[in-house]
Amino acid sequence: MLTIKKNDLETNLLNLKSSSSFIPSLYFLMIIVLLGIVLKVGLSKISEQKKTLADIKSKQAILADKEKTLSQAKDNIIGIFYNPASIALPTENPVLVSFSEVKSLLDLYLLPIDGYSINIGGEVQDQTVVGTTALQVTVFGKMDQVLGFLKDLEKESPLVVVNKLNFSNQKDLLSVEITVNSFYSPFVASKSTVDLPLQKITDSEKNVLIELGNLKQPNFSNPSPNGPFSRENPFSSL
Amino acid sequence: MAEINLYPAGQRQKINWHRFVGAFKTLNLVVTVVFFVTVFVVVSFIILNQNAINRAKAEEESYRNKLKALSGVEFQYMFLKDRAAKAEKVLKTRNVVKNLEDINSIMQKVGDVNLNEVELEKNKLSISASVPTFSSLKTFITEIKSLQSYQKGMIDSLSFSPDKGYVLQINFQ
Repeated sequence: MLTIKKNDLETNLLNLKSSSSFIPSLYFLMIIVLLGIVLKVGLSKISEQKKTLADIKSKQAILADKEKTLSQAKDNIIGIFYNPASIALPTENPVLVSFSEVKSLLDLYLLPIDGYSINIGGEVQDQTVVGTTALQVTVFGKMDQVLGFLKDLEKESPLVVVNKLNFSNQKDLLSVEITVNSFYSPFVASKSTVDLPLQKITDSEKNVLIELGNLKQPNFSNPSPNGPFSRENPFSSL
Repeated sequence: MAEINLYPAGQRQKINWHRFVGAFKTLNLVVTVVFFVTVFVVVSFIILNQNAINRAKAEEESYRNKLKALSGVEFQYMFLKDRAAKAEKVLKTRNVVKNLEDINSIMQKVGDVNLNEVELEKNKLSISASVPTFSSLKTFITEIKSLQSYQKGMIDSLSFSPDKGYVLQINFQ
């Protein structure tokens, strides 16, 4: 006959109670801790990824904008204005070209040169600096001639600025001492600028480029070669 | 319907405990489901973000390659910007010829002004002129005062001789 004592029953029930509550509690704690770890690690990873993605997107936006601007500029601005701008404000001293143009224009306006001097200035290496050369010419003529000459001179390329005028009246003619400045500036593009946003050409700069494009380009003539000539055969008469 | 409890009276509280354990197991199940769903969601997000990052990197690389091909154009663009900015400053200094035009138009308006000497710079104008009559002198001074390019003008000297008329020296700055 099966007899169960009261104490045995209580002990068995207590064992059952402790085993049935300990394992689920441990499991519960473990899951909660794991959940915390997953959330902490996962969310920080997601946030890091979001940050990386935002960085890449912002870089991408800069690159896309740059690529679009350059692709458009290639056919429009650069194709039209690169050559005129590089002649108007060259990287090398343009004093000889300017002097040649001054002389051609003086001939055109029938203004005889009484004297001239050229100050080429020092060498400029810093690309932020605009080098200036001064060309001083003394001419004789009437006011209309001089004014016409000066107005046309400022329409020529390379860019010149009439800096100083000294008039003195000599009978019917004016003796005019004209000081003209021409300009140049070296240019070295900075390297590794792919990630940096492109500094765009502003509207006022575009107007300046249009103005430079409208300047009259210098005439470079090709002198005819001095020869070869046909030579007589010295042995033909023999 | 009444609930029949077959446990002896002394063990009835332990039945409540047993129920609590049962509820706890259900809670464990729920927490487990929540854990796996969370893991799934987090991992999905990470995978999706990683894919987006990879796509963005590929696009970035493609833009970089395009820009490498356009490096010559970029140089020309920067050159143009540099020239435009410098030329803009240079062009702002141009005003001598315009001032000479203004002086010429004043002379034509007054008629009988004879310029003896003129020194014209960007911020400076010095005129020595002779004017035969007082009315011409008055018109000349009125007109020349209207020159916009200079802030102040001063008549340094004014003399009169019956042969030359009025001879005056004006300086503008």
